[in-house]
Amino acid sequence: MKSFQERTISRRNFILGLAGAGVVSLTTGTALAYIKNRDTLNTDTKDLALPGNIKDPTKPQLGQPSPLLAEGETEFEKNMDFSDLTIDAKYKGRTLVLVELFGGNQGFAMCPYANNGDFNSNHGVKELIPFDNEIGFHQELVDLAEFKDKIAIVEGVGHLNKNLSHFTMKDRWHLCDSDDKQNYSSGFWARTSNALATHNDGLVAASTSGYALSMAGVTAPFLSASSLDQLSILSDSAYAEYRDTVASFDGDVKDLGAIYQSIYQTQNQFPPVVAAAPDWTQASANGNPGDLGKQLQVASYLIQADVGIQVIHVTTGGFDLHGGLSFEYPELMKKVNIALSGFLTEIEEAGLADNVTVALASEFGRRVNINGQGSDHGNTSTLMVIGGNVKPGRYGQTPSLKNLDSSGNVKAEVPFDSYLASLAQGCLGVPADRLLTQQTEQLDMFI
Amino acid sequence: MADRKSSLNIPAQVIRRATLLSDQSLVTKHDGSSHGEIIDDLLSVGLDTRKSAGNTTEWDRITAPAWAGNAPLSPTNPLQDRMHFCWHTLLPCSTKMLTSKMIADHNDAIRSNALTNYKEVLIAHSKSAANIIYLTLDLSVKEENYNENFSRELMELFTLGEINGYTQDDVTAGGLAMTGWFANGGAGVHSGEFRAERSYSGNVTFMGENKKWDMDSIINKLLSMEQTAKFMSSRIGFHLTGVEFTDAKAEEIGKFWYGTDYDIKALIKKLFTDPDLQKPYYSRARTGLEYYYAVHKAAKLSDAYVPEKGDPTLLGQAWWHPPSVGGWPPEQWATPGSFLWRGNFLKKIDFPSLGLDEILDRCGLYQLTDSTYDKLKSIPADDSKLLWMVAMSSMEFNSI
Repeated sequence: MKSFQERTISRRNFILGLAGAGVVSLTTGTALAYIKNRDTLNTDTKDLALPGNIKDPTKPQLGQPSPLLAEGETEFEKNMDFSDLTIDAKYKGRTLVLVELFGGNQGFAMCPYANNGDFNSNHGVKELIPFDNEIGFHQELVDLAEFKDKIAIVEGVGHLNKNLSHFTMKDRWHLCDSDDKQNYSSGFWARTSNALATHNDGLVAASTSGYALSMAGVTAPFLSASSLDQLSILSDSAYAEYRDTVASFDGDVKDLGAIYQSIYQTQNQFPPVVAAAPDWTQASANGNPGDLGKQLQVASYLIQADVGIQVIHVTTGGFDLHGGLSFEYPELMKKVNIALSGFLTEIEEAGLADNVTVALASEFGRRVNINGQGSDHGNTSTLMVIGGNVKPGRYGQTPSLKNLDSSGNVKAEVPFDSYLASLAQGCLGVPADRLLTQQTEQLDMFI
Repeated sequence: MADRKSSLNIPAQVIRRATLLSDQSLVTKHDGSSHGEIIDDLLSVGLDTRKSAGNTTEWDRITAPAWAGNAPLSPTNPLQDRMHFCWHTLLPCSTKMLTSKMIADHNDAIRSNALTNYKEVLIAHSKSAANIIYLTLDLSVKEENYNENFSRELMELFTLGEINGYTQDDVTAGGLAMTGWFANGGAGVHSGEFRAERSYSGNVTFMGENKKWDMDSIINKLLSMEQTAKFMSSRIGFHLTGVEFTDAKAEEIGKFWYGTDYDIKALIKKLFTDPDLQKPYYSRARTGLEYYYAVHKAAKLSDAYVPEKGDPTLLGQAWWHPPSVGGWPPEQWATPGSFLWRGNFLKKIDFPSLGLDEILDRCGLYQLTDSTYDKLKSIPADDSKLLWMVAMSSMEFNSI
């Protein structure tokens, strides 16, 4: 693994305003969501003050201070100290790629049950590719199903205390907080990455879909890039002077400097992006991997660049199918199939299969009763974890699709925070009790 | 702090926030003016009545979004352009499954009402074919097949705020009460229509009141709640000023706006003349499109906005392509990824060869940190491209 030259710089919080951003809602533009956590406006008496004087770090404003410790952090976070953390050698070099299917994926259609009454036909499941006698894969996951000896199917994952807002539930997943931002101001993968950084001198974490609350408060080396095109300026010799100039932005504008430094002072660690986009990232008669393909191409590049990457957050949308279930869901499954199977194959061909795990997530499932051509926001769902170090099989507990709660939702059997905790601990070797205040049960999914 | 032309500091701030283009001529026009004088002048401009040419047979994702994207490049009423963009951001729709006429109609609805009244904007948006299809009202039919999609987002995103004054039962009741709306390009219906035969005709209990509700009465009910004024004025305020309101400030502004019956011009005037909201001088990060327009105007580029051509999309934002029903997360514009995007975007531009002072004037940068100014002054005067790129990569240019 390559080490970074500028260790002190890479330890900075690279996302402006991320420290402490965990206390805010991810709801787009809902400024009021921020209000709950703030007492005063900036009342700096200096007219036309630059934002470097802003005291509130919860905002994504340019030039504000970038504290390593977030203002508004909880007692647990204030006391979080990984200096004595030991991570078993077997976890070294492992990478977890979390693929978030935003919008609320109908997991019971992605991994349908064989004996499911009208559910499958109502949800356009025409054929089930068997995983075992009871459960299988959507008919469009034909290539991904080839990895079945490396797949854990996790059943019944949901919220014990549900709320059907995309954004509230997404925030809970990103913070791993079952109690609406009461326990953490930092993202779960940020905390995990910060823990991993005690044993990793490289680029620990990345987001391929821009800002992710899950990375709020990250102090480990972090990069965000959603396509390889974005990285082209890193190695373009015509712009070396530009890179050097902006990488030395400092003075009053510390955060801007930190961002540019994170990008450009590590540029020599990245090999040039020269390869043509592989077929699995391109649209074809088999479907369009779209943004998911591009993001996983970045993930593959970062993994193969051998810069130490251990946590990558990928997000793709379109799963909010209040309608169009019969024709849109198969297209979404084609996207997932092409992109994930292509990525896993490429990783396998690079000889890295035993080190890379893909885990699916979604803020919630959907209700089992359709509303005509789709279904409304629900709770419980089925997820998959795929990789060379995964013990294949079924985990969690099969939920009843008939014994619904009073609002027509499938009851959760596996709390979502147990699922996330199992990924951090089982895949990456970071004990869940170092990351969470709540107790969680581990799903023993990893070798 | 480098103060290049202090009499232009206030005009530069107001123009970059209240318009999309950081127009140098508008800044110099208001040399020495106050916030209130400048905003009064902007509010006095007659409405731009141009309309986009929608087409009922065209399903592509180019023409109508391109019209919206190009309108600010030849501004008639720059504040109207800004508010058109504001409503496009806060009341988003995607091109998916829409004819270009539907997109054009939605553009016209939020643009022609951009400076009127929030009730007008919200109702025009809600009943547009674009919204009816995007939030699946067209699939919400009678009690057998209704969905909660629009009902939830109407309360969560467009009026009350996330889990704030409503329950899941209100979402369900609202979904049922607002059945009956229809649009379908394939069926030749390009404008939103209410069809009684598709609607639920019975009573529902919404906000504790059992009666026959419909879209108008639900929106009126939500607007009658002060929480809506508080929540939405905060969203608009953040969009225009980049300042996140404290609860006390939200109460104050919300109460004011509620008292004007949601008059948009009154809110704009209030936001731009509130001393608390004029600080900090530079606030939130420019969004992808705001950055695109700012670069476009400063460099006096002649190319048109073309969605999916590459550049705007590579900046992370394109008209009519929201990442979700919530629109674009404001946090995403100050990340390593967004700065990589912007660096690559600047690479492609053929900038005019100018000296530092003229570049900074063109960029609307009259007040700079010493750090930024020193760095720019250290660049050889004949390296105009580098001067442009570094100026446009500065914190100051990346902010509103």
